[in-house]
Amino acid sequence: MLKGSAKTAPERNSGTTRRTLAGKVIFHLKRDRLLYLMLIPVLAYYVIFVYKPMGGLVIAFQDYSLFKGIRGSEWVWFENFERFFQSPYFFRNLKNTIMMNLTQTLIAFPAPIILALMLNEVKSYGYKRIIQTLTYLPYFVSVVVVAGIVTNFLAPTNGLINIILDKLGFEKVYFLTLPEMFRPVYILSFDIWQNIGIGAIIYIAALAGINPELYEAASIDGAGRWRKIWSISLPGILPTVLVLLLLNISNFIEVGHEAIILLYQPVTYETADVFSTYAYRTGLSQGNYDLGAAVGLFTNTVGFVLVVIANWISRRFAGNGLW
Amino acid sequence: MKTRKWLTILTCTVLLAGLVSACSKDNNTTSNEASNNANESNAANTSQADATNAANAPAEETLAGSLITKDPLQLTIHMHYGNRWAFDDNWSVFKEAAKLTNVSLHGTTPTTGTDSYEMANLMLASGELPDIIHGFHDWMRQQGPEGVLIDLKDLIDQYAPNIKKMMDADPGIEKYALASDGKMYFIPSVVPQDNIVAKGWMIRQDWLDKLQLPVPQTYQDYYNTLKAFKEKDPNGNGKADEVPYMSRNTSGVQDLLIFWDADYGWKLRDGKVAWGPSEQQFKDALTNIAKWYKEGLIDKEIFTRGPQAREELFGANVGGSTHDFMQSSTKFNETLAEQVPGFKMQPIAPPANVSGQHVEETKNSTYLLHGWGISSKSEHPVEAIKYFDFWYGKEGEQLANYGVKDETYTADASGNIDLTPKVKEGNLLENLNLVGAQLEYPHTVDPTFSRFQNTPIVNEAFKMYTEGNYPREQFPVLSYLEDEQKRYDEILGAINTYVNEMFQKWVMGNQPVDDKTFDAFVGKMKEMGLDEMVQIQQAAYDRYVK
Repeated sequence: MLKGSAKTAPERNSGTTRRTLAGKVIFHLKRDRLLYLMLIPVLAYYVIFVYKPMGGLVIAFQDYSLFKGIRGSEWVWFENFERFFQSPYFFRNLKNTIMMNLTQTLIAFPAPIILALMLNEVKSYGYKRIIQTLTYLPYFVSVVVVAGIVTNFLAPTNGLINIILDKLGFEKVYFLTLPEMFRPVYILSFDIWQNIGIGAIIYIAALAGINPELYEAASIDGAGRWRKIWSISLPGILPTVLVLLLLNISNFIEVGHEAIILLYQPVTYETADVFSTYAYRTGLSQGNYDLGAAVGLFTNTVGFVLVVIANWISRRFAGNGLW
Repeated sequence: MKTRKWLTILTCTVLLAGLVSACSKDNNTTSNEASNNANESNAANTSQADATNAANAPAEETLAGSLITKDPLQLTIHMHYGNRWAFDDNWSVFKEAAKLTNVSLHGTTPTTGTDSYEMANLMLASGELPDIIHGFHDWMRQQGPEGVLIDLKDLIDQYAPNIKKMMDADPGIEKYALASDGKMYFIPSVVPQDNIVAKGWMIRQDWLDKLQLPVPQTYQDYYNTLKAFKEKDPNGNGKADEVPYMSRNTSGVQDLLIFWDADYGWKLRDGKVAWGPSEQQFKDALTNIAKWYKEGLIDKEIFTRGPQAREELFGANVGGSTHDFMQSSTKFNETLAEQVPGFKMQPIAPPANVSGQHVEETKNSTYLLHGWGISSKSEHPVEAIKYFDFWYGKEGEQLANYGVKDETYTADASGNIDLTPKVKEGNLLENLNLVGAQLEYPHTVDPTFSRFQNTPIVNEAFKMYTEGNYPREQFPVLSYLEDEQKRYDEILGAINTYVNEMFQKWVMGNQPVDDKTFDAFVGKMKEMGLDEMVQIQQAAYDRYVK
């Protein structure tokens, strides 16, 4: 196929005269064969690691036994889902998951946008780079380590935060055992401290793409800094913001369990326990993969429906969506 | 137009990345802590188990010594336990055993794995079972009826005289190993009775001396002692920074329940199965523990302190007393000698509880927690059972306990065994583990081994605990029928979550301990199916006793 590149060139003219669909496909495949060749590993990746494992979701409808496998296991259809919905904690987990996501969307989602806008206004190139690097370094720290740092900082007897509180004359607070403090602690440490830098990168890139002439023109017209941010920078990155917001909505009833499991305590379950931690505790850590799969399928299905709705709204009112 | 195109590409990339992460999350979820309960449902699958016995009875030849086969035979084994120990083909103990028996083992488990439970599940999911499967007792009892393992009873009767002798001597072994379908899928090992002491109570002897206090005899004494630790500044730094009772386990607070005859889980009350947290004793205990916590006698951070609590609090000379394993806890007496002059963690008898009894909550299992069985795919069940039997013979026993002669141990003319200086240097157990000895595979466990291991202070403590008969009988591990298992897991899961949550709330004073909250607590557990769970447990217990 590679060798034929020179020879096929003359055929191109004759090919264009009779354009059947198959002919068109073959024609394109031949012409851009190198590009298509480069696509193969990517396609293979998705087929092997993304689409093929989806077949495993059927265990959500089975009484799954590892030894018997998917073929040998008994079909129980919706029994796992029933168990999940009838759990005494279903509504609490639902509420916590949604609350967690709402808070994330309200507080953690705008944070990288604000950081990017702020960095965009910095004139000193070196200073900007340093800040950018420093804010995104925590992203490379393992979740386990971040949880350890948080636990240490918030320790009631000699954690840094409590020492400061103490010196300022406040009472010491055992943050990690207060249900009302769980969400703020979680969002500040993981969503903001750890992820603000990496999140800002995408916006910084979008800001860099804005035509500088717009700013110059605005300056000539007498626009101040705030005016320029409001009328040029923000509209400039709005499509990016919308896309990320839509994707965020698809995860609306899903919260990663790793970080929560590292931070929560039975005493904070009432705000910290979410679907994924529930699935982990009652499903996976006891080998009930079928139940775990059922919870995952449920949250993903709801996420899919949500994103379709959000996309429709976005297209309808902002004229812009994921598809 | 151009931005639009880029936007599409960006969107697609992010979307797909999201998919990838979602899927990889699903994969990750298979990895989880080596839980003690592999609660796979027990589907009945028994036909395979019996079939293998009758076949494979080769014409018996008399073979010299411990030889099992005439020609060398290699069996495969899955062995990965404690998230750490995986079968290593280089273990000289097993090489030596191969010389004696002609049967060599080849490990099929990656030695780099760090999650035993995951390793076992991977092996199952792969569909390729090795000849021998080593596993946690509970897991073996559950996987057996699924068709993973074969019943060993007949094989033992026919081919394993040493194992049979051991089982005849202690009927508890069979009871321990039996699965809910009445078959025996793995071989356990008896742990010598003087090794039954697990955890113990310890207190800073030098602090007691300094404050001229006696060793606390009852739980009230213990309370007063802790109170004195908190108030009288035994570490002499002028601050009330002492942490009288501490633990490196987040469940450390639960260890105190025993003073009020309360329990965090199942117990036997007048011969009947009872759920500890629903009893009145639990409420009494809570009332007191909440008071202790409020007065600062219990580490305020006990729920988040974590596994390094001893290093942290002993090292800072603030930890006063704990309930933990005595070998490792008294080791600080040596390691902290310079840092904290006079530091002495002294094991004491458990302070007497409300009914005046000295009870230690923990007790080492009488049987090894891990055993091995023969997989249903093995073509050599007879050789395998004979090989198991080898480890209960004299040669096997010495190999498994002390390693290879002249490499890790020496024996004099009268058969007295001593470990070589090289092994004794540093961590003795780890050194033996390196050659494949002192591991949890079934063999005759030499009760005298502990003579190399324990310091005088620990030996004395063990003696005190054994003679006082402090460690209490443990609630037996029960097995459930298929339908029961599901219901039981479901209810227990919900109730456990609830108990954990409420217990912490009470202890930390987030809600008062009174009749109103406690009655509501019991009521909620009943709503979650407490009675049904107790019923299932009682039925399982009755089966066990019978």
